Amino acid sequence: MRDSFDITIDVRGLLNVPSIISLLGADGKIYQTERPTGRALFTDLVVNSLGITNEQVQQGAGNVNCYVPSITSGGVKIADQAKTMIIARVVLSLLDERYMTNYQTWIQDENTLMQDTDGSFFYNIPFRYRSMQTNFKRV
Amino acid sequence: MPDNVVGGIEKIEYAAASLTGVVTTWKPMPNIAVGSVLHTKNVGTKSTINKEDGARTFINIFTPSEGDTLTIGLLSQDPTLLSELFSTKYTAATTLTEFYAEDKIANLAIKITCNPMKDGRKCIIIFYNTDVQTGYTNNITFDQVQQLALTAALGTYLTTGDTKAKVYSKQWVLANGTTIDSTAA
Repeated sequence: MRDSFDITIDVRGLLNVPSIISLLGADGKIYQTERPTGRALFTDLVVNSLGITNEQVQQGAGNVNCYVPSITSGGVKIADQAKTMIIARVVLSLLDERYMTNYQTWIQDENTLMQDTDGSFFYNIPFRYRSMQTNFKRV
Repeated sequence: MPDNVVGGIEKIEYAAASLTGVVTTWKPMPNIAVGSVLHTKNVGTKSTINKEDGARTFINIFTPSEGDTLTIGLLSQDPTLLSELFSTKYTAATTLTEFYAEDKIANLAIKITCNPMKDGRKCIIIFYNTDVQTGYTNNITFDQVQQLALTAALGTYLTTGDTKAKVYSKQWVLANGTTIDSTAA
């Protein structure tokens, strides 16, 4: 049986590859569940889980939030859409229709640019997660 | 007083059928589909002939029904099990299973171990002699896997020292498998 921790661990594993790490820069991190405070100037990814069912075929869901430091335009802080787009598209390609040994992930819901409570902009990518249980006994 | 109920499936196992009700080694049937297991006990038809002058029954005629059946759905298509259920040629070195045109009726013993639903007692149901025909169900889609659909016609067996044919047995044991002695004290 897989749980919410498995989702964040597995998806973080899919994202912790050179094509993403190089885009995050030297100080960028991939966090599970939540992003620490005081990271507004860093490029980070945060993987969280929305839970998973306990059925023969376990269905789960989660989000990857791509945080990119904002830029200033006309004296106003706005999202760095160009950099966000580059990172988000790599994340989308790494998570959509991935058939791994013990689980699968795919992008299902719409993804969109959002703003966090500390003013940071992030691109929200909801994904789905699925794993088939072996020796499932609640039959 | 402990209750003997039947529900939930811990596991299903199979072996070659036994006409004497003796099986020593069982092999697992993996990944049972939820809700797919059904034991159908068919009941015969009773017809009555009455006397002309009243409603009093003159004679009862009993027509036996079709035999009992057991259906099981399996999500896993293990090549070893496939070769038991279908006429196949299996090449282990490449995991290639080829299915012959001929149909196969698998002569199997089937053992269902239930979950301890109440009072820590679980039921073990054994069908020693079944003729199993297998088909497929479920579309092959992104959201579900193809299912093996087993339909077992339940045959009879005769244990040593008994003169009446039997179809299946039910035995309740404790959750850890310990036999229960229900002999009155």
